[in-house]
Amino acid sequence: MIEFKNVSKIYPSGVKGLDDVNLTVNDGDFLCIIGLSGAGKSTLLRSINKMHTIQSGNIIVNDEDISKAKGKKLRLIRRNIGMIFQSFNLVNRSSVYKNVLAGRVGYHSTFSTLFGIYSRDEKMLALQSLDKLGILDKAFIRADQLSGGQQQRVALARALTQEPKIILADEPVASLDPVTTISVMDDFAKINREFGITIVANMHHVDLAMKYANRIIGIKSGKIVFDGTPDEITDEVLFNIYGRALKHSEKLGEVDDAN
Amino acid sequence: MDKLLNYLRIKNTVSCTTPDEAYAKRPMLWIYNIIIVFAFLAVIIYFSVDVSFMNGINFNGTRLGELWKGMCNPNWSYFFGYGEYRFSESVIYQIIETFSIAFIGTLISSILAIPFGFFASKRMVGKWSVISELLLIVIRTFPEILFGLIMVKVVGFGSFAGVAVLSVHSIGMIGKMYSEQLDVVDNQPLEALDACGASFLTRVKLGVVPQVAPNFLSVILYRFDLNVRTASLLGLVGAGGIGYYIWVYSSFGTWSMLTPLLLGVVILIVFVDIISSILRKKLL
Amino acid sequence: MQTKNKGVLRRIFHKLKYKKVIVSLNDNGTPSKIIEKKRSLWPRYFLIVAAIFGCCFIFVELPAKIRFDQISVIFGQMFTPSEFSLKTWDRYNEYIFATAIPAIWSTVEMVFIGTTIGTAIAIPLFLIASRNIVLKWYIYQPVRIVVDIIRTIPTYVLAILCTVFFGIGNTAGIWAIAIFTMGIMFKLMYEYIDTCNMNPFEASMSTGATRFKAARVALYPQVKPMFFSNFLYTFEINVRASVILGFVGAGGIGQLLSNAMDAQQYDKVGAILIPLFVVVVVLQLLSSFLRRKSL
Repeated sequence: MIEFKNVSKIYPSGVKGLDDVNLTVNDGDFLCIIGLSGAGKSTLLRSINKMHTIQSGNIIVNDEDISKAKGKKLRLIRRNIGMIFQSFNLVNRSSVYKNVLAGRVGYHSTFSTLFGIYSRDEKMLALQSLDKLGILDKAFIRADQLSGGQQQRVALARALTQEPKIILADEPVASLDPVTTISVMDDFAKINREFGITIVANMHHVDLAMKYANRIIGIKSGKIVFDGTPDEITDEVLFNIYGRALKHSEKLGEVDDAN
Repeated sequence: MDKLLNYLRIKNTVSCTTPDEAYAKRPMLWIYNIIIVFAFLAVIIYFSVDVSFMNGINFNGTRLGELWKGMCNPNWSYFFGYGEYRFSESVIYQIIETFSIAFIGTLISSILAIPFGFFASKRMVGKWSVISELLLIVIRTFPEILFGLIMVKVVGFGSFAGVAVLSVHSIGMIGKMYSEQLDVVDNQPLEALDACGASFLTRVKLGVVPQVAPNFLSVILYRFDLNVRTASLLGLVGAGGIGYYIWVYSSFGTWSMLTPLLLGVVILIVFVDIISSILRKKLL
Repeated sequence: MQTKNKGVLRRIFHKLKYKKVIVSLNDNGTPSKIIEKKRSLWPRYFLIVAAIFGCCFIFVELPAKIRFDQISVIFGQMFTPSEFSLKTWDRYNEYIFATAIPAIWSTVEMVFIGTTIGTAIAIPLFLIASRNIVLKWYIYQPVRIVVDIIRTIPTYVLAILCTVFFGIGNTAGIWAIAIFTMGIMFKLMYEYIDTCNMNPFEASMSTGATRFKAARVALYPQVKPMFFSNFLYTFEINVRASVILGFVGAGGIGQLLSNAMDAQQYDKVGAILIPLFVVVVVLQLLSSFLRRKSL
């Protein structure tokens, strides 16, 4: 469970990143954050695992206050949170297998990471994660030789290998084509359903958010302006968040089943 | 080939259907890494024994103490050239002398290397470039100190020998870099000039020179940097420059004279580094 | 009075800096439009360079007599056995294989050991000195400055200092190469690490790794090929520079060369140079081939 209590962040330039945010995310939720670029989506997401620090308030993740945690305590909390990035953030020269195993370094000492020693169970776990996402046959290929959708799946497998309770996704489908976007989002939904992992994702596309999420947060200038289920979203809400009505061409719409 | 790589667990090229199968067929490169590391260590140990490394180290602790004492009171009159030492014997004079040797040598060789570089570039002369390339390689690989000794016999002791060595030796390096630059010249301006009827010389002057001039200059600067070090090195064999006195004073163990010399060398090299980075920024 | 002087001076400088260019003419031949163009800078730079060139000759004395005949004497004697030392072709060839080549091989061995030791010392240092791994400037900046100062000391000075401490012989030469190598590998590697892609590093940190573990997982695969390439490059430079070591008594082929030159036995010099030349060229080709393959 994630709780934000009166969280505020101000950048050194004076810009307000987050403005008195109060939020509760329950276990098993699929939460999507929507809003304009620069409204505070990334700041909100990244402060959950303290990649961005906050100035005031508390963030409680799984009954631990992460905003005050440092050093080893912070690393222990972060172990249980997986993160997916827009540019996949894989080690390009390494194989997919090694990339996925890299998710386990939080559970190892410096010595065994130095020599790349992982236990048999962890290796099986990595291969099973790859299998669940359907890319097992690409397990020993160099990571940069895969397509964008496959690379994002590898990143997802890496996050799964951590055995996390929460997965954060910072615009995971922004650099993918529409067809791949749908299949990757389906994978996210499958993980959410089958393993009960809480998913918090930043999205550009409102209709994607509405299709997959069971809860949506709208952010504008660091403040939460909408917090509810997809059914409650009306055009008026979107007008509030984006400042104007969305045109039809700006929605993802229906995707034909190509090849 | 692939089957062998799979068998030796170097690479996996078959696609596996279950995680268990993938686990059984995974590449295990760590075995080979360990073998390579052990082979490397064995080679190092064999080499060390062969050249009797660490046999009879006479690590002289007392000498370290003497060095430290000498380092703390350097002989400033030697450094600046007042008192019992004339200016022409001082460290500062030697620094300027070393700088001059490098300057003159680099300048002369940068001009002399132009025809060599031109004839070593495949773009310009085609297959005949091999002759000049070989010549440049021979000039480059000849050890500078040896050349220094020879020049000392030809022109006598003193700084001119150093100038002669640098002038000839740098032709090798600068000529090679010239030929590399000329090989990647952009053809389009040359074609345009040809189309409006320019002669060969005009094409070179207006088409080639503006393209390669900044690169040539940066090559010359880089070489000047290195030549300052080589010029001080040549002093060892008596070809002028600061190396000679470093050799002398360190073998006698007069540390108070050695420290100003070392300081002088460091100052000279730092000075040349700074100047060449300023000039390089201006060039670009 | 003073303003007039200023005006004159200013006008002179202006004239030196700019020149008038006639752009178009009227019908009767008088210029109708004149623009001022900055004069080309090249003559100025040329004058500066020529001035420095002239000044240098204050410090460098021209020789009284140049004995060109010596050149032909020396080079002529290098490749034929002379009466003064090796008297026959047999002995010349024997010298190449029995003395010169083993000496060159032991120099290569020394250089290999020295390069390895220097690289081993450099590894922890360049890890500390890269801005991407260590964030606090008061840790990485001092390390960079100290090693930079060590790097300005020329190789031969290092060799001389090492003979002071370790005695004359191979050990001094190996340590000199080690220190020199440390300087080069240090600079090459930390500059490369600073330009590495930090995305996977960030991802690794978010899974709960320390900076060191994240560097090992995310940066090491990128750095590894560059590391070996730089090692080969440094090895090649060191082999070329190793001739100097012998001249100051730190072991290696320079010793043989120096003895032969002092005794004016130029045929021995030639006999040493031929295999040395072959070794250096072969190493250069090998290293550029291997470096191209790994990158």
